[in-house]
Amino acid sequence: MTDPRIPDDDPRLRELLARLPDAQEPARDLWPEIHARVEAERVQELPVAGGARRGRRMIPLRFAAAAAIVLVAGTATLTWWSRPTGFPVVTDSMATATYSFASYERSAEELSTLLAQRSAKLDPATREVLERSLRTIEEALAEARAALAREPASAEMRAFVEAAWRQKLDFLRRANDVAATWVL
Amino acid sequence: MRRLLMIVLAVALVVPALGAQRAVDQRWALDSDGAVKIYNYVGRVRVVGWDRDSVVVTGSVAPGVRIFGGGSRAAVKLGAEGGQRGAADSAVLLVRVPVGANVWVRGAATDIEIEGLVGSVDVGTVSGRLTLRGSPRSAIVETMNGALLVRGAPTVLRAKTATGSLTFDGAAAEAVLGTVSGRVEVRAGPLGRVRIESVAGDVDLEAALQTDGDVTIETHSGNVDARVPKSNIPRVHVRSFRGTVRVHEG
Repeated sequence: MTDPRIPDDDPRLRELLARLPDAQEPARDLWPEIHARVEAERVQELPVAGGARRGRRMIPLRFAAAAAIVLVAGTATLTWWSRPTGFPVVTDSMATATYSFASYERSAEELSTLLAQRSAKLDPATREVLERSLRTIEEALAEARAALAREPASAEMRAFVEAAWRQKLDFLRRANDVAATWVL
Repeated sequence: MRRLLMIVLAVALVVPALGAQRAVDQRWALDSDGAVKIYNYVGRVRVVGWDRDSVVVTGSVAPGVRIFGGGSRAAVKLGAEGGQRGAADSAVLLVRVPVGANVWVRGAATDIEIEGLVGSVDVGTVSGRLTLRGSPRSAIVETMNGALLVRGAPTVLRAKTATGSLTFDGAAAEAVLGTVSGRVEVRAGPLGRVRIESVAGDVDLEAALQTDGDVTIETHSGNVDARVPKSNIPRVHVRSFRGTVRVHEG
């Protein structure tokens, strides 16, 4: 195939063109730079107000109205379901207390596992002291939990359970500290 | 005659043992507010603040035990090493540090005494006695079954034991004192914001409160006896699951 732009009467030029390789790499690889610029331009900070306005326009009014009806109806249903029915209602503070006991329990489990691994290094007398103290705390915790189970609405009983958990965690932390540094 | 024989025998046993102890005398330069870490798992450590910018450790160690140490002007670490497995491997150390140094000590079967420091103090031992005298900026002192005594006025104090007794004879702006079954005794004052907790240990408080101070005492089965000036009584809050509680003028 001949290039129509090259005159037939220029054999020298044709010879030079014939010597050229089929492909020629540029002396400087420009692709990384171009790629970086393209990537940089892909993520752009948008003005917050403008963006919000655009977003708002995208929700048709009828959908917004439907969502509002669903929200109101849902809230009303939940309120009706959670009305006093003779069963104890779970209040926010009780939910928080339950949650915090669960987190105490998880932390205690982790610390106990760690202590069990580390306590093999301890001498029997020290291990006995740690176990005895832990038993004392466990007994107190069990007693306080039983009292709270009898009086679930009692803030005082909840405080005793929380105190026992705090003491257990603090003791486990200290026992781990002892076991971790023990070299005898 | 039998008594004389016993004495001779005792001397014969003790003298070689004493002779086997090796003397310790090492020193390092340290900034006046530098940090010092000390390890000694068996024996005794006494840390005393002085007005020089250096750390000096003297004392004696059992055969097989040696003192390591080093660091910079900002921090020095030292301690006993060589396998301390029992009373026969003890190290008895007197460590002098700048009065403003921040001191950290760990022991196991180790009696520890801290005196005359104004920086921060963090000390822990297991079965040894722990005594803190002086008024450090902050103090964390903890034992398991060893007795703990704090005498002085640390600004902030955290003192804990498990079965060991805890005695605080002094003042503090903020303090948390706690035991599992050890008895807690607090004397003197004035006390700022203080919390005393024990699972099964009795608490005995006889102290005055600062004008804005308040004391909270919480036990599970330990008995509480708090004696404070009449005007302080409303600021003493006590709660015990099944211990007896007595708050009165004293």
